[in-house]
Amino acid sequence: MNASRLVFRNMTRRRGRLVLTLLGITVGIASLVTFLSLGASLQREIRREAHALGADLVVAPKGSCAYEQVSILTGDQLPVTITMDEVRTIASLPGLTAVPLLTEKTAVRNRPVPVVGTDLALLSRLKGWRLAQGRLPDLPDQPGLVAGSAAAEDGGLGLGDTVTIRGQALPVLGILAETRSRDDTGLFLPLELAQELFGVGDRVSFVAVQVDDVSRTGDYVLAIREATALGVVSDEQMLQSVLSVVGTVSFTVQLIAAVAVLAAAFGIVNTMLTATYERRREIGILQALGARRGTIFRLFLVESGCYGVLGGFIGVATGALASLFLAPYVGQNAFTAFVKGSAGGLDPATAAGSILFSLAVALVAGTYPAWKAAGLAPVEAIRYE
Amino acid sequence: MKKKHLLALAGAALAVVAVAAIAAVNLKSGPLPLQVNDVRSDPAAFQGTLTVVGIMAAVSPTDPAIFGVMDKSELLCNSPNCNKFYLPVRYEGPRPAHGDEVEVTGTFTHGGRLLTATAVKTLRNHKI
Repeated sequence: MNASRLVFRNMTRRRGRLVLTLLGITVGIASLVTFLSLGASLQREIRREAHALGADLVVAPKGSCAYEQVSILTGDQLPVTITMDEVRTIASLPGLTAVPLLTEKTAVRNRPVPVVGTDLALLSRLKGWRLAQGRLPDLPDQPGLVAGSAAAEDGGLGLGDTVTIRGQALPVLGILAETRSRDDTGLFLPLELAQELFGVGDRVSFVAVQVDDVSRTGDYVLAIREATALGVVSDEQMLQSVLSVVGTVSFTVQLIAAVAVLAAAFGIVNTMLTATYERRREIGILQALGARRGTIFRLFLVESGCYGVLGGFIGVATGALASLFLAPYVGQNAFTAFVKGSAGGLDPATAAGSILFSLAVALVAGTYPAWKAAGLAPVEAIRYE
Repeated sequence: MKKKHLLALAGAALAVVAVAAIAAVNLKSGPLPLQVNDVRSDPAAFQGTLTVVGIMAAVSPTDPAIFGVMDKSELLCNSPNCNKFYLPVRYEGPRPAHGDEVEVTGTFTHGGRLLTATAVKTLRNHKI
């Protein structure tokens, strides 16, 4: 009998124990893979939203925290404190295109929908929007709105239909083509009309700025800070700030899942120690046939590694499925709202890494039982009945 | 214990986990409660009975039956210019404690300026 057949026979000799040991490692790896997958999905969505913002710089009230920067990406409300005078000051600086935005919310069919008041022509140019139907409002105070593709679909909105915002019925003048970003879920109004409806005077929530020369971004930031008392962050700084917050949360839950894998490792130790005890006679016979200590050590270690690889494969498959089902529910948290609409899924590197991690844990867990098996005295081993 | 019994036990454990997961997903698939920030800008746009989740953070100085709930996300904001807004809720029953995360069920009245609650359920307390 060769070594691989011996390992296979030993593993399947106690099928109940095999299943229970595999269950332990499977549950641990599945939870690890689920959290890794959801974390990666979240980061992808954050990057996509940051890119979809279409701005090189974001001007927000001074001292904005990371949460407020998340709100810029999610389209949630922000303090409305930036005046149009400040917007004009920024716009007058050479090399900059400044787009003021007012972010609010309303309801369509009793479901909350983001509302953005802005210079629609300028924002459309900045983001490269395409209209699927209709047109943009012609005037900054023209009663009417443009709906994102998903907002129109979910709200059953077509051209000419009306949406009541703050008690005023506004016709749908245009519907955007799908952008695969937050813009799909929003309603877009001319800025002056939005300011009047929401009663915020001449103030806006933040300013998206596009620069002519990206290599001079630092100069532009200084120029805006000198000209106004506002905070300025680059799109990359904002992205890193948000990713660091999300990364901390992801790391914590992944650590918890890793502890579950370590707990499963003790299951492997238990299984292998029991196997060592049960197979003392078999070990003695192997030694009598000339098997060295190293050979016996390797046999037990390979068996333990097999638990890791098998549990790893099943755990990765279970975790990938779980992440697909759970991804939409993660989006219900304020910090993870980006995941809405995300498909979840698992990349090959994470899958391979998780299986290798499972193997490594199983090998470490199997080392002590293998060492105990290899250290048995031949006489004592063969004497066992 | 025999092998087949162990296998049956493992199968049953897996089945219980699967049923629990499916039940959890199905239970969550109903209409989600609204957050305070969802309704603050245009409360009159919401019709009929709805459920709003928030943190009890203020009490009216003139009417003890009216308290203010803020959005859960404000717990995460730590800058001086946080966007705090207190949604006024009128409830005739026992008033939740300061920092309680509550699920308020009711309708908007007074042109959307007041959420008149028929039920207030306390979920947990945040030390604020």
